[in-house]
Amino acid sequence: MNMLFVYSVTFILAFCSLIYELLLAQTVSYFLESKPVCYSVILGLYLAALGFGALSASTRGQEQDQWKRLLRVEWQLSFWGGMAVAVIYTAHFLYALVSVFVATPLGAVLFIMLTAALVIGIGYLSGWEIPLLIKIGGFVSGNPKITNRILAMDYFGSLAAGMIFPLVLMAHLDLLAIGFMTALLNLLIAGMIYCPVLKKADRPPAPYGIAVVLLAVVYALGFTCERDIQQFFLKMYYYGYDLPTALNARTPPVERLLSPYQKIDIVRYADEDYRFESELYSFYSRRKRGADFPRQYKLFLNYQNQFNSDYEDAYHEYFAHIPVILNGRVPEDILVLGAGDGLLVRELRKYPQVKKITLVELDRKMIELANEHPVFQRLNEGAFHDPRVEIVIADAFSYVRDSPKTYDAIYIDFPSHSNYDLSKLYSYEFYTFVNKRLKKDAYAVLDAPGMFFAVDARNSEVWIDSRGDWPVYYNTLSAAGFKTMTPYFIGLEELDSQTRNILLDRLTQATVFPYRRDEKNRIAENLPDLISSFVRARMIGFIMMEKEAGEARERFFPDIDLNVLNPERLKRAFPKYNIIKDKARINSIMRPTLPRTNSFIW
Amino acid sequence: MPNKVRPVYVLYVAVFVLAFCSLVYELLLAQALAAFLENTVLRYSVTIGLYMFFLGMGSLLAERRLSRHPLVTLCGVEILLTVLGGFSMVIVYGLYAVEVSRFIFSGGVHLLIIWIGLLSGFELPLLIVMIGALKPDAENRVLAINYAGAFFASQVFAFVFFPLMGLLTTSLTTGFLNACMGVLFWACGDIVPEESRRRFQGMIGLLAVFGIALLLCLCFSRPLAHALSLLYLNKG
Repeated sequence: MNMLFVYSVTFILAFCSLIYELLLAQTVSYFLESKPVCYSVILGLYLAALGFGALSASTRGQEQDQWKRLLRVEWQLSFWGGMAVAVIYTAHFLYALVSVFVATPLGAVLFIMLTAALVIGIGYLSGWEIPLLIKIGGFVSGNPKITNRILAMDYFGSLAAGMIFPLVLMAHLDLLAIGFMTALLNLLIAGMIYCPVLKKADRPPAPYGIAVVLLAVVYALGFTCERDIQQFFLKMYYYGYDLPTALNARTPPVERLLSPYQKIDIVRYADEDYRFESELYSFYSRRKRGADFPRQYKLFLNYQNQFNSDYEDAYHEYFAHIPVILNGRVPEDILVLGAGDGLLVRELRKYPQVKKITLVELDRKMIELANEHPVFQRLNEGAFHDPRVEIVIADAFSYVRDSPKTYDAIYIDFPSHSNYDLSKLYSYEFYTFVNKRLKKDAYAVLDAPGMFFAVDARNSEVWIDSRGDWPVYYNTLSAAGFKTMTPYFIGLEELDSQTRNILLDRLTQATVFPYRRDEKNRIAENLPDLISSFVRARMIGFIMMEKEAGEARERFFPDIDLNVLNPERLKRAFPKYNIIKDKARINSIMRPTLPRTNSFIW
Repeated sequence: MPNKVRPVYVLYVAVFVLAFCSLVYELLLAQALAAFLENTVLRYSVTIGLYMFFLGMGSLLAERRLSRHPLVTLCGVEILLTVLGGFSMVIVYGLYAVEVSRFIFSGGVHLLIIWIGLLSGFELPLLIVMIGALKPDAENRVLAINYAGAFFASQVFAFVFFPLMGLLTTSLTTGFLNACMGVLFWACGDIVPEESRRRFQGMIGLLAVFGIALLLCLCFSRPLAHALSLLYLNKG
């Protein structure tokens, strides 16, 4: 026994502990709206528990007593650490289950309590480690002032974890696998303490050792069939926690791709669940969805829905074409930020007048997906193979800051500002740079998550809800020097009674998924409500902004092939809004106001 | 002995506040780097990694620096931390504005992270030595208080500092808090041996000067933030 062993143990245990903590924060953060709050609460709880553990650690007795205590701690820690991810997934399942029956925050409380218990438990156990190791170090080296070196090793272990977790582990392994791997490492230490370190007389009884080996076997097995376990939880999550669906082998698997930036999930939903909406949507979109059309695919980035293959044409047509109509002419040189799926580019290249489209995307994986995945290929119609399209793999913020070029139009399509890293892409600094990259009569347009709409029941006018993020956008964009801001949204019309009857007829006659008569009656009763909620679910907001308070140009409706957008719907696309001037709401890097800190579980 | 008990509790407060300030500096720098440089995930992890590593190096180096009285050394450490941490956001923005090349900017900010990490690493061993001399077997308690300070920092940073005050005001406030520790050190000045008294007093004076400077900046934080933002934006 020498000090090298003690130092290595300290290093590895610190490494494992921090990995557990990062793992917990990462897993929980997917289920919570506000990520910084989630991260800090978990980090805080963990640190507090660590402190409590260190405080209550008993270090009486001789060296062998300390090792025995450490063994007990490690064995429990590896059990909970390895199970942590699965426990949180299950807790979220419980949350969803309870929420179905009781509309109170009981489910949320349950989820938070289970998670907190896990964090505190793991923190408390980890807190024991350092005092025990300091004592052990003192015995082994014969020098009781070994504290600093043990602490230093603890820091180095944390450094390794802090670097390896985001750089290596997150990019190559899924959360469950990381948990199992770390727990195995932890068990290895437990095993080494059990066998060579502890003298025979001091060893806990044999079943104890056998249990450690058994747990190791379970985790090793878990690590090897991690994909199947992950699939189970993914199916549970995406298919609404329906156990029979998740266990059914015929349920299409969730395609998961890992990149250094995000988890990319492609989910195929059963047509049956959506046949009503799908049929309804054919009254709004002229798109032919034949047998080869990839129906009901959804793309999720970090569990955040990006698009639905059936309804995305509305979104991308409104996004791409309304600014062109308002601006009165087709831009020649376009910059697209984000939008690596190629769907926005598909719309923009419909204009023969467009000479160049530069697309800046951070994640190379997304471009590969857009070019190689059959669903994406079919949807974006090979948009990136257009010779006018140039793809730049770069961070959009640095690109607009450092590029010397100016453009006729800039399209901004980022994931929702769910954390402060993304908030930077909604900051006034960012929009200032965007403004600088615009030519004189140019425009920029952004998809504005967090903008909500309210329908006035008396005159069916649509208003932007000022309780949403609209005031933040307004003030931020004004601060960035934009003169005109025009918010617009996807405002589909409700169907009149004649069209509703046609829809009902089609539902029963549909060849693919015909409805039974009783189902039809049920739908017929609720039809206006069902249509309203469908229309409301499509209400997504955009903001077009112009450099100059431009003179009114003549609007024209472009002569290109469109599925959803038509002159009639164009009139409905502009909501009424209030302007609340408030400098305190400007979203900046120095002082972010997005995302607003009201957290809830998804 | 009452004159021995009092410094212990004063030092406990110092452990808490210094842990608090350290973590806030770290979170601030990580957030600022994420804001200034591309590839957020990488920058964030490198920041945390470097910080942790040099925290460890600092605690190792602290062992060899015990020839002087630990409280005097700690005062020196706090002076540097107050300046580097309190003005960290001013330094980061300033570095960006006078940026010659990206490499120099990036190198400068990372150097700041390393220095703050290294200096923070000195704190705990020095405090443990001092508290250990007054009250043996308090190690676990010191560690626990240190963790509690970090816990508090993470909560305050996420719920109060960052959303309500923003980066610049947070760095100035934390720096001011750090400088205020000078008052605490002053209060337990009797544990400093006679021959280091003068040096100790000089250091406390220096801390006070920087504290006042930070307070002045805090009073004018709005125009200062505006000026720094303009510096930044005019680069593009």
